Amino acid sequence: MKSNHQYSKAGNFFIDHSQPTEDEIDAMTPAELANFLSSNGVNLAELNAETAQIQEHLASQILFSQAGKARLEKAQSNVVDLSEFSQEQLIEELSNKYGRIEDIPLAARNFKSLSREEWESLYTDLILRDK
Amino acid sequence: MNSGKPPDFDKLFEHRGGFAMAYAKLTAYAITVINKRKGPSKNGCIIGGLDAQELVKHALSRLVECESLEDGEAVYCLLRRHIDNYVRTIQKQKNHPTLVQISTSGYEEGSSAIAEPEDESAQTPAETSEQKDENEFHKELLVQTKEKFEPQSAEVALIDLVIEGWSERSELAALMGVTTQKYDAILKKVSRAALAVKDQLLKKA
Repeated sequence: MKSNHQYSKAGNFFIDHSQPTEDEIDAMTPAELANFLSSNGVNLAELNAETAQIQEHLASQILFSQAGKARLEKAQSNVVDLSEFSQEQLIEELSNKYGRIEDIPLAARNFKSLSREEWESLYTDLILRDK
Repeated sequence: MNSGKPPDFDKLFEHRGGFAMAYAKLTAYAITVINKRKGPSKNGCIIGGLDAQELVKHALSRLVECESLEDGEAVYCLLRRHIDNYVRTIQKQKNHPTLVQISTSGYEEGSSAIAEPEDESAQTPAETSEQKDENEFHKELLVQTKEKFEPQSAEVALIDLVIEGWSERSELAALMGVTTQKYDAILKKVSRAALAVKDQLLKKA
């Protein structure tokens, strides 16, 4: 007795062979291609008319992405290495400038925590910017 | 990639007759992928409703992630892979998400057994039922395809041999007692008939 799975396998075998392979598509002449597309509801002439707009849209998408990447790279290259300073040193210098920790303009910068990263960021913005 | 300079897609796909020809052939490829993978299941119906051109546009939009757009043939092959992977992902998507118990009061005895299924590849009753439906669909497809030919014809003989599990070109040609060229012609005829039946059955569903 044949298993039910065998019917699926056989069905897919014929469906797979009903379609041109990658190589067969590559070897199609423009007329054959137009015929294949047309039998699947796609008009080659209409499709060709759209390609200029598609190219333009794609080029602008890529340029936009490139600009974003360039901006990110620039921002990363501007990062100042403060690893040689301890957190206490950073706080001390900030306190020297503003008198007390409480007077450091934290709220204006959406200060959310007292993490090392935040102190470094404050130091870069408030101390190094003026140097 | 030359930053700040818009890519010249006609030059990139020059070896394939320019962008318009590459786009048309990618659309043809997307059609074949859809035709092969559409089916009676929920995911198969979603695939059947896909638009080949939109699929190509989606693949093209992913070129923004590409590190280099120098090698046109590599880009073309990547686009074909994007098309195939997108449809394959829909086909394999689980309709019934795995439910995992979230603990709200620390460890409870037996909770680990619920969080880690014994056999991850085990099919759920829903998946088994879907596979049965798929098998029934193909059984009907083959029956109706056979009806399009004479009972004693080479076409019907080929369908029976494939159902028995034969799939090698040379073996099938030998079993049918025909040359491989003749076999190719018969296969093409049967495959086209099968695709027409598949479309009819999917329309009815």
